[in-house]
Amino acid sequence: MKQSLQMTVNGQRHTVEVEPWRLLLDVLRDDLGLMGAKRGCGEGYCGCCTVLLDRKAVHACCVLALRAAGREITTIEGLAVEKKLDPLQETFVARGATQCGYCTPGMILSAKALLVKNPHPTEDEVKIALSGNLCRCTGYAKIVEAVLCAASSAQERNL
Amino acid sequence: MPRFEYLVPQSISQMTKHLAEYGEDAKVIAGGQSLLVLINQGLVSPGVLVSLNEVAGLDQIVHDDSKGLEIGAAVTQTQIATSALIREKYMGLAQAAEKVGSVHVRNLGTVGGNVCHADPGADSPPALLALQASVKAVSRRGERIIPLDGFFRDSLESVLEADEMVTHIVIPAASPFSNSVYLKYAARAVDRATVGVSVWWTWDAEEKCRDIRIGLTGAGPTPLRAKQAEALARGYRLTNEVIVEMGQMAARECDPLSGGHAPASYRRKMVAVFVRRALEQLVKEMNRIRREGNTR
Amino acid sequence: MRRVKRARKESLMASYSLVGKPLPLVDGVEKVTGRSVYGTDMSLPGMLYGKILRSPYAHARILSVDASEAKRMPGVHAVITADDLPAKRVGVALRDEWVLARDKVRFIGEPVAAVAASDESIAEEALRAIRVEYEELPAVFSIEESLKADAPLVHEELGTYEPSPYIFRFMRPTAGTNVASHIKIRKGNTEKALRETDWAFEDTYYYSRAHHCYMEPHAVLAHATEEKVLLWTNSQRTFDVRAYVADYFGLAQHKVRVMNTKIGGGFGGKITPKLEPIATALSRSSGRPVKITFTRQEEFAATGGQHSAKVKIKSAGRRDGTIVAREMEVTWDAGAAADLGVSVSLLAGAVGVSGPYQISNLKVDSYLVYTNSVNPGAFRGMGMQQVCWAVESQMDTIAERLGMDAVEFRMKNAIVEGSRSATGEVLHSVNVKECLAKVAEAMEWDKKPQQPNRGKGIAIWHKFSAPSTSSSAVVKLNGDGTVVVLTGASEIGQGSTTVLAQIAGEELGVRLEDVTVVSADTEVTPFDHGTFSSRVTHHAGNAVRLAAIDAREQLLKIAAELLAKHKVTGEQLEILDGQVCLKGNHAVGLPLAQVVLASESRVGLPVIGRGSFRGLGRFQLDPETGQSDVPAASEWIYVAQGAEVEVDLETGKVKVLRLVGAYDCGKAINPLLVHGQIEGSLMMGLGSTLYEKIELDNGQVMNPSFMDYLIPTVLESPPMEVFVMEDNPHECGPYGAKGIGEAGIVAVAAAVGNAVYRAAGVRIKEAPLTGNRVLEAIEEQRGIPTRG
Repeated sequence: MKQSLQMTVNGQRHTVEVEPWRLLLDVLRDDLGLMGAKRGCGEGYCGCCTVLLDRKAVHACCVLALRAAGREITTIEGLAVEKKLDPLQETFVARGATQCGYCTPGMILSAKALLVKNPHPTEDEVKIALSGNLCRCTGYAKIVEAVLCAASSAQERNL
Repeated sequence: MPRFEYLVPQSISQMTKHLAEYGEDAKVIAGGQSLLVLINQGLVSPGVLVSLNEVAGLDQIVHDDSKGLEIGAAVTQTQIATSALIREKYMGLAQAAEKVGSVHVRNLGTVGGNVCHADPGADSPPALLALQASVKAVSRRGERIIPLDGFFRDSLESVLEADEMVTHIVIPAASPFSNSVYLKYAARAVDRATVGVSVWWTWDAEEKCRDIRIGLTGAGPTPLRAKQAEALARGYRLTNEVIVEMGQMAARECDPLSGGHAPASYRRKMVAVFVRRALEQLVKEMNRIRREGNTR
Repeated sequence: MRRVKRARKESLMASYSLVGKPLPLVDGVEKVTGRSVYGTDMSLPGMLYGKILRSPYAHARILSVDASEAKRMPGVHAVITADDLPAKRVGVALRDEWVLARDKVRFIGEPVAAVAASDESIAEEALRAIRVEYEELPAVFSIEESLKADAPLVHEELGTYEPSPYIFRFMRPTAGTNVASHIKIRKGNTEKALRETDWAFEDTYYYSRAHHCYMEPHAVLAHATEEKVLLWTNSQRTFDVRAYVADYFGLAQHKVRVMNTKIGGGFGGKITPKLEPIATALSRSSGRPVKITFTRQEEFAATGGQHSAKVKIKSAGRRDGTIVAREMEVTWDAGAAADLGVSVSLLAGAVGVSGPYQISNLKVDSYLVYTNSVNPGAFRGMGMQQVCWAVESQMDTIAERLGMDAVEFRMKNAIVEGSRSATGEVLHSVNVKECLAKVAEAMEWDKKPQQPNRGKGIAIWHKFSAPSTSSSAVVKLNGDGTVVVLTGASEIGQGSTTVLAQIAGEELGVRLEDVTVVSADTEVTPFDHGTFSSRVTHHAGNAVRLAAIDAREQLLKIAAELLAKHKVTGEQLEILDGQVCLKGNHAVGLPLAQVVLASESRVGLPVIGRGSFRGLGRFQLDPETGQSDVPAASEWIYVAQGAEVEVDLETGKVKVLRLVGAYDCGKAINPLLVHGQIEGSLMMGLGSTLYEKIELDNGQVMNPSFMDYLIPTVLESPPMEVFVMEDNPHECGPYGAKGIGEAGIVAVAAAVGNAVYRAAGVRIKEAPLTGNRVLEAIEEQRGIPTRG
């Protein structure tokens, strides 16, 4: 029943044997030990499971693992480059945009997907990009601030 | 998660072969944003999922000035929402695409899936109904074109046979002096529409309505056309009085379901409000186009 | 207490290096890199997965349970039913629950059996193989049904239930009825007062049931051996879990160790030990570690949330606007178990129910009523949102009828320093009028919005920490001058770890990064009542502060000995930037690390700083009058909340244009985190104001998913202006700090409701204010038939 799945995760090639019904979220967590993506609802609403699939933000709980065959996945563990935090990771900490932290990996990845495509988003564009990521702790204000701040700081650094 | 097989055909003929073989036990999966949730909840239990994702040629948007638009079933909502061509010529469809769920859902969710799922609150169907879209349905037995108006049988049920798949959605060529819009009203922006209204129309030199189509969602067990309301417009100028009457007619002719925040009576009222608002917007747009020339 | 007050008085005059600074979380980097280990991430070798079989009936006799097939399934290592467990009732306040239902089930979702298997799908299959025979019984699904004279009883044996010793004993169940608790206040003489007033208004308000929706589901990992039970849990109250589990299984408490994992939000929903006893039993039975994680559906359908409430309020007063008497009847839907509804019906339903107002004549009856549905429990605000909704809506109505401005009317009646509370407590550190003035000014209250369909609304309220809770802490020093703080309080994401580190670092003169805080391990950290009721900064903060001061005093004595040639005493020394030095001559001194090392081997003794603190207040209300000679609450917190809204008159949709509030936290130990708490609780309150409602149909939760239970996304968040009031430090709080975790949620519904009235001319009496509800009110007002 298991099929061979090859995908690139955080720049590394992986081959895992998976049953067809397994979800990308569970393969990342249970087979590859990448625990940053979380299960909050399992139904594609809370966004705690967000990863980037070919640089697009998706809900990994609603993606079959085999769908990722031959694709590139980025999880939160892959965001920092050689131990240097991404500007988003820095601003989320500095601005108080993370409290309990459960939504944080997904939230940051959705923001990352936006900034890669649109380095100078408006506040409305930021909000639309994060509309699939629920947070119950922060009330969102500092999250939006942190994303806008990361965008402008990246601009300053010419990233 | 319940168990199933997952097949990834590389061509339409491979695909139809699988569907013919497995029949009712198979379901086509593209984005999976609706289907996987239903399977996880135990509401459907297919033994086989047949993926659309590697079938060549189903992820393209092809346009021809005379033939119109052909959208592959695997085209995502994000692709549609960001297509400059669709935004220029078929705005209602782009507006519907950009309002489906959240960005994550739009990145994987396909317009084909949105149509075939036949959710009574889905966003693409009303826009496609207004644009007089059809679907190309293919099976081992042959090919047929099914107008979308008549494609939806019931809530979550279409007229597709078990061995059929939708390969493309086709929309007639855009006429000059025409426009379309999609308005969505929901409790939260990411929710299924409480009601969604799409209107397409063309106007003549006297600003009279030459033709019009109104697509509704959240207004019945299936997405539908408000044909009686449309009839009030053809050949007339869309004055405030006419627009108000059209809204009220649409509210009368639809048959909303009750659910969650929104009892049927509320949805009915919202149909009147948003049909009217959609028409007001289109008239305003027409006036702007006439003033400024056809620049959008 | 005197030590605390003296210490605080000294510190008020100082300027701080860490306290009062908007410092980022000490565990922020771990969170943004995805390395935090939450309850849902925990695993142990050989771990099994536990699942719970739940009742499909709201009220039924259990005729038989046949688990034989499940037990035989390959991969199933334990199957338990009530017969495998001690026949003891449990409950955090009143013992009216079973760990697994025995004889009867009382709500859809009640646990009936549990399995542990080698993977989740086998566990689910095993659940399906358990055959339970039920005989349905008549049930009650609403407060009205429950209170009828001949209503079926949810708990026939209510009169025999015992209170739990671990929370408190303030219960007033009425045997032979569905009333789990009835709290009374009889202050002054309302009957007499009502005869002498110029006006009286009576209204009834409703607030719907809601859910916490923490992003991380409940998760417990139990590892029970002959010697010990180990529990890793995302509970907010680890010491309660230990006591509960130990008591239930007849174990000594030192044989049960409860440890917190990282917690992905709690908001009151991770207090009642719903999983821990079951996971423990499965682990004991299987001999393996067992992990239970709730699905989101289980969270909605089988764990409690916020109580729905019906509030009847009659207020009466004089022509000049003085409120002279208030009568309130508050009825809370407890579901099938009293749980912390006991606290809700006492604290919000009585102690704080009449609001921050001077009212000499008060009659209150607060009823906690059973129904056959899953029971709500502790929830951010502890019932204050529901009662504030009623009281503050009525205040606006009265003001309008009297021709008085809404702010002016409140100012006239609001409490001041020395006023008495509903229970007769003399209130200190009162600044509600200052909060109100601040918000009125910031909102330009006197300027009406120019645009049509827009309106401003305002509300004031209060919150307090539950009385008589305690915290203790230990501070240890390492040989390199770094510090370890042991606290029994749970870090649930609110930032307690950071705040406590700031306090310890401040007193010990070290940097924030030199402090590690160890939270909530019952074997290692000293006793703490846990994280709830906005109590941690005030209670655990004091304990940590006292412990740090204690450690400092020991260190300085040792340092004085080491500096003997300078002939100094401990009092002449201070610690700055990791250096112990002479006050006024920093050149004389030594590194803190050196002092610690010396204490380990040659001078003095190893340093252990300890501190304990109990908050004010006692549960000593007179059962008939609800009055008390002693405070009934620990540190009162005041709130003024403003809202500006725009109502679409055709759809009824309420758009919140901005929220403006002033929140009295005494002292913001960390302003960044204080803002975060306020903003988060505002959005949570806004959720149940506009969108959220647990839909129950004959005891069945009809919307157990984020698809149908609508919590605000970022697109629903309005601009929020937050004023943190520090003009009113608390005399017992660390650096004057009170609490802040719940201040934002209590008054936002009332503020929005009042704004909607001004924007659309309709008074909505039931929350949430959905489009449909508002539109129906608008149509009714215009005489339009509402059913089309």
